[in-house]
Formats: sequence, structure tokens, C-alpha cells
Amino acid sequence: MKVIRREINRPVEIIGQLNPATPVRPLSRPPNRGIEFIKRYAPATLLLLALAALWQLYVSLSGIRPTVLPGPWRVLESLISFWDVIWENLLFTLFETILGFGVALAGGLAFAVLLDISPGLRRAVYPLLVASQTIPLIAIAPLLVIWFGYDLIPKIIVVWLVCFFPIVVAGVDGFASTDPETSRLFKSMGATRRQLFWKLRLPSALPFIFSGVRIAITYSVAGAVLGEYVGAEKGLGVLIQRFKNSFRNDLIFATVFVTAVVSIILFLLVSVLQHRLMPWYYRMREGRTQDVISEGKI
Amino acid sequence: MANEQTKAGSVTSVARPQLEIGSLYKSFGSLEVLHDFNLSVRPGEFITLLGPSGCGKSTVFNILSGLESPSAGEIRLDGQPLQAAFDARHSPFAYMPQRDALLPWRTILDNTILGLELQGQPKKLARAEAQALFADFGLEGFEKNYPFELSGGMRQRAALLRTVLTRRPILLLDEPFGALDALTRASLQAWLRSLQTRLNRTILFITHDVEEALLLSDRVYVLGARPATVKLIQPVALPGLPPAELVTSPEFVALKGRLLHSLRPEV
Repeated sequence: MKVIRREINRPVEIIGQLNPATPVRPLSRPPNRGIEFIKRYAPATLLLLALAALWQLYVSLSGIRPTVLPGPWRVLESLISFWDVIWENLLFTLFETILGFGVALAGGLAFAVLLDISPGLRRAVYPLLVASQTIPLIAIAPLLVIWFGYDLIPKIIVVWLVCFFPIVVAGVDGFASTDPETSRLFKSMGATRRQLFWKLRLPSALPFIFSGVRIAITYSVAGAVLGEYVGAEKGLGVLIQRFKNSFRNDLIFATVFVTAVVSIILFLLVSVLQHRLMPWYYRMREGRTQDVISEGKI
Repeated sequence: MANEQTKAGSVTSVARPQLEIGSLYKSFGSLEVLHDFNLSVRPGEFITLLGPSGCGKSTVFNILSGLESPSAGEIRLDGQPLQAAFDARHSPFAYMPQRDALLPWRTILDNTILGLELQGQPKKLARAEAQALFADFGLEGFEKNYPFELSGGMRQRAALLRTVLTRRPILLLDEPFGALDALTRASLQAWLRSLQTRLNRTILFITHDVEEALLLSDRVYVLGARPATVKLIQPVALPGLPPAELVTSPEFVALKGRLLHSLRPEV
């Protein structure tokens, strides 16, 4: 591995050389992906397993009743035996999540553009937007059921409420992060407003927007579950309430576990999309850490 | 026309000026930045504006590139007044900012075609045009790399290629080598001088480095502290020596002394 690092480093030194007439092959990607992957995810996985083991140990040794606190093993068993019920309701929850998130993404980005164009509107709306986040959703959700009934609409609104704010804020901050000197360069080249937006402001904002989207998608599933919990006919939230009423804590844990896993999967999907859309961003970050590593080693 | 003159070797004083700036004034509120600024440039000339930091050199460039409007004055291009229809789309000036301002999400090749792309040229054609110049700019083999993967000197060359590729006849270079280390800077100066004779472009260059001004320019305009006025117009005729010997030659030292003297603030 040390040999590989050396070879990666060599072109970096030559790039700094004076003679512009002899360019060198550009940097190549390090081949040790598998090792990097393990290095990156092993600590979290190990910690998770250790915590589960601790939990199981406590349940087994203390003799606590499973109706109060089931061990992870029992949760897993219940999850498997109730899988078809959970799966059916999960699809429903997922549908609400995607719909609400989609509306929030499209609306949030459009709204961020609007706020970016009009500073007056931004000053008027921004404080309200922040204030709206202080309202507990658990208070709003039942009202939505009263207003819109038991079907899809109130859940989509809850998910939208959860996702809209981080996306708008990230978008506004992202657009504002555009480098003023580069803006001037574009203007001196005769860029139209449209070109300025698509070729400069939007790409500049993209890392910010993705940060917002990752926060939004992480909370979106929990938002849908909350919307269902206060009143619905189907979905993981309904299941949790039913399990609670029948004292099946093991199944509550199982449903929560599924909610978490689904949230993580959605989060990872967004990350994959981000890698696809912004390869430069990751190469830049990797390049920098690579430099730091090599400087520390040599 | 411009080609013939540069090929002839020296620019004769008979040549009609390509760019004339007459009695340019600019104030920001009560702060006067430019006071009766005059400039005349012949086609293919390399003109340096030399002056202390913050004297208003960059304001001249901002006005020329259409980013700011003058308080008073006239700009003539090939004898025609420029003020009225100052549309950045058809501006004759290609502006290169101090920092390279390369877009981190674009490869070097796609960064260099920005000007052509904004003019509506299809990317494929623009890339072919850019590619043809990559060797001249010492960027060959780095087309698909991102800006952060290049050294500071290479990034400046890429930014200059982007400026050249706007196809505009007059380049405005605002301290392009200001942020580079001395060695890189020296090699880029030599390279730029040799490049200019091949490109046939007029160059307006800003610096506060006296040696750089002398090494690169046909004429040096020395500007006083704010508000900027022209204090000295110094034609540069130096023996054709390699830079390392040139800077210690008596002619060079004499000119350097003269410029430094005129740069001294009046007490």
C-alpha cells in the first residue's frame, strides 16, 4: 500500500514543476477501494453489534419481561414472522414519503430560486420560515387529520413540512455562496441571466442543496410515520399504534427498526445520486485528504 | 491589419490607435478613483498599467469590461466611440480576473470553452478549438482533470486560455501572476511574452511589480496613487537578452530606476 501511495504522489510533485512543455499523466484513482470501504464502515458496524450484544445481555441477565423490554433477538424473530404485514404497510408509507418529499424538493428549490431573485421577499419570508420550524409537528398533525381526513393528503403535508425547510434554507445559502468574482467574469463575457443561473449559480449551490436534501430525506420517513400515527388506515404509523395497543413491544421495535433501515437506504440513494452528479466534489475532497495523508507520511 | 504590424516586428508610431481612452473620470460617491485618465493603445501592443495597490488600476479594467460605468470620459475603439451600445456580448475586451476563477465542477477543457459556450457556440466545436491550443498553453494531457488537480501556474495558464478563447481582440489581464511564487512567475512571464507574438492580441496588463512591467511591455503607464492619473508613459526598448541577464543590464537598471522614481509618492 505504501508503494501505491508513492506512485500516486509522484505526479503531484511534477505538476508543480516549471516546464509547461512536458505535461505529465494526470492523477489516477487509488485502487484499494475494498480496504478503504472496510476501514470506513467497520467502526460503526462494530459499535452497533456491541450495543446489540449489550442489550441482549441485559435482557437475558436481568430477567425483565419481554412485554416490557424484548431483546434484539426476539425483535428479529417477530420481524420475520410479521414480515408480510410490515412489508404491505411499509410500501404504503414509502409511497407517502416519496410523494411528500418530491413535492417538497420541487417546491423548495423553486421557492429558493424565488428568494434568491428577490432579496425583499427573502427578508420578509425567511424569519417566518425559521419560526415555522419551532411549531411541534405532533400538534399540527392531528389538526391536519381533522381538516383533510384519514387519506393521503395530511401525511403528504406532514412529510412536506418536514422536508421543505432544510431544502429551502440549503438552496438559499447555496445560491448566495456563488463566488462574486466568477459572477463578474460571467457578466464580462456577456452571460445572460439564464446562463448565469444554470452555468454558475446552480452548480455552485449543488453541494449545499444536497446537504439539505440528505437531512430532508432522513427525516421524511419518520414524518410519514408520525402523520399515520395520528390517524390513518394503513402504514407503519398505524402498525405501531396497533402494536402498542396490543402490548407487542417486540413488534414496535421491529417496525421502528424497519423505519430506520428504510431511512438509511433513502439517504444512501441520495448519496449515490450526489456522487453521480458531482464527481468533481468527491475527487476534490478525496484529493485533499490524500494530500494530507501523504504529507503526514513522508 | 494587426497581423502585419506585429509581424513587421516593431509597432510604428504612425499606426492608428486601436483603443483610445480620453479624459476618463470615475467616482464612487465622494471618492474619486480616476481623474482625467488617458490611454492610447496600438494594435498588438503590450501595455502595462503600473501603480501602487488600490490606485484604481482595476477600475479601468472594470469600466472597459462593462462591469462599471465611468462618471465621464470617452472610450474609442478603432476610432469609433464605444459608450452608447456597451453590450457585454459583443465587447472587444476579454477580462481575466486576479484569481483564476476556474469552475471547480468543470474539467480544464470545459473551463476553457466557457466564453465560446456563453456566446452560443456548440460545445463540440468549442472543445475542438480549445484543444488545438492546449499544447501552446502547456496543458496537454490535463484536459479531463479538474482545476484543483493542477498547480497554481497551470491554473493561471488555463484561465488565460479561457480569456484568449473568447476571441476578443484586447485582453485585460489583472495581475495574473500576483499570487504565484517567484520561480513560477518568472517562467510564466517568459512564456506569456513568447505567446503574445504568436497570438496577435493586444494586451493590457496590470501589475505593481516594476520588473514584471519592464520584462513584458512595449510601453508602461505609471499611475499615481488615488485618484489615478497617468504620471509617466515609458516606452520600453531593451536589448534582446535572456531575462536573467536582462534584469542586470545597465539599460534595464536605468529604466527600472526611472519607473521607481516616478512611482514615489509626492510629499
